[in-house]
Amino acid sequence: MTVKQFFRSTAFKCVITLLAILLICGVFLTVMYGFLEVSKGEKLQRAVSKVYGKTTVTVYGLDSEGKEVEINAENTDPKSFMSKQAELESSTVIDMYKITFDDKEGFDYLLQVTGKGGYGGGTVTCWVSVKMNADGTQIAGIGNVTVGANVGQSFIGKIQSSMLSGYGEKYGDGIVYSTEDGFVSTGASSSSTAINNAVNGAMQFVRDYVAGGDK
Amino acid sequence: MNKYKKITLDGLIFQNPTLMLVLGTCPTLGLISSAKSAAGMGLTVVVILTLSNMIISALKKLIPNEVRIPCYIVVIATLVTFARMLLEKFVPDLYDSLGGFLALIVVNCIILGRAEAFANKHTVLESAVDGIANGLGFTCALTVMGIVCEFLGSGSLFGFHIMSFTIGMFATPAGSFIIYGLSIALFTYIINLFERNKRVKENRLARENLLDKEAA
Repeated sequence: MTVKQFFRSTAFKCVITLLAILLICGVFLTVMYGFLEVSKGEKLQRAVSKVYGKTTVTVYGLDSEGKEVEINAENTDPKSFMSKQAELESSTVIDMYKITFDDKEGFDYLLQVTGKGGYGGGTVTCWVSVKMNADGTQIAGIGNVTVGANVGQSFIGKIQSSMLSGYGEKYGDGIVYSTEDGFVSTGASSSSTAINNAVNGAMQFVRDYVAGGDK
Repeated sequence: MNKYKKITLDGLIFQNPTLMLVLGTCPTLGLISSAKSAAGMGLTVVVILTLSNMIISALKKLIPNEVRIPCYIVVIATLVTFARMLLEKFVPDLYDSLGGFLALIVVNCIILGRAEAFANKHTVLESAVDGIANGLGFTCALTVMGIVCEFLGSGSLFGFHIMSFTIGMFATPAGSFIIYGLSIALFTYIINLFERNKRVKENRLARENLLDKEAA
């Protein structure tokens, strides 16, 4: 086959067509990602509004010197209370923020935790609000739990809100939530396990944190 | 005009991808336990199917026959990724509830099937109409089954609680499978009944015409 024949061959046309389509699609997606990327700050704001609804709250993170700073419209880059992710036995704590309320005393810790042990070995990432007592030395309860991203959890849509609101209702000191104790949604028991692991991990991490652990 | 009417009726009813051709079974069984997720998935498929049909129809003369399937997959994957970005940005709740099924639209046989069977043989406008009709046929089927499954399995409709009596099985894929089977049976029965009545009417008209001719 001569060079001229090669450039006129079907094989060459096929390669060029495929490469051209790949290139156009790649450029299109890259440009669109620039416009549609969901930033970390946006994700935090969404999580806060999902967890606390219409309640007016103030979100605090830590600055580079370790002082508490408010995260708001002017200071959008969220600075977590954690310098790095914490790997626990059945979960990974990704971020932690402090939440205070305009109309009541006390504060919550809001944690982003990835629970392991989901369907097919996948994970579920949750936002868990952990209520603290007045002096911030002990856990006073579990607030709202919301489900965010997941890996391989096809039936995550089956997780019922009654299960997520049940954590706070059945909170007790030293409790470990499990599917066997009723913290399960029909049709998504493996994903329920991952969510339980996330909530248990959040409580374990906050307990260690207030006791002087990973700061 | 008749051509577009036929394409629309085929996509919506007579060649309904879910209930007549039994395509897209994976998202159907996975998502019909919630009417909201089912409708959301359906509408996402309408947009992707319409756009992919139009693009593939427009490019049909440029794409060599030997690499048409990889090219279709690349186009569909791009549209699905774009749809995922849009949903994550503007409808995060739906994005979360659809889970892995959103990414699986890439290999949804309705989309690839329509590209291969229709879009690469017809004009852009016809392909767009076909995409909308098939997508809406899929959406209607999923939403109706979703309403039944959610009502029986969770006692709610589109997330609004209605009754406390529930049959847990209908919130699982096993229950979805039963509802899917019953829906196919009912839909096929209605279509058969309609076609039989149409045939009877046509035969009667033909007989009357024959009798008129004989009398004349």
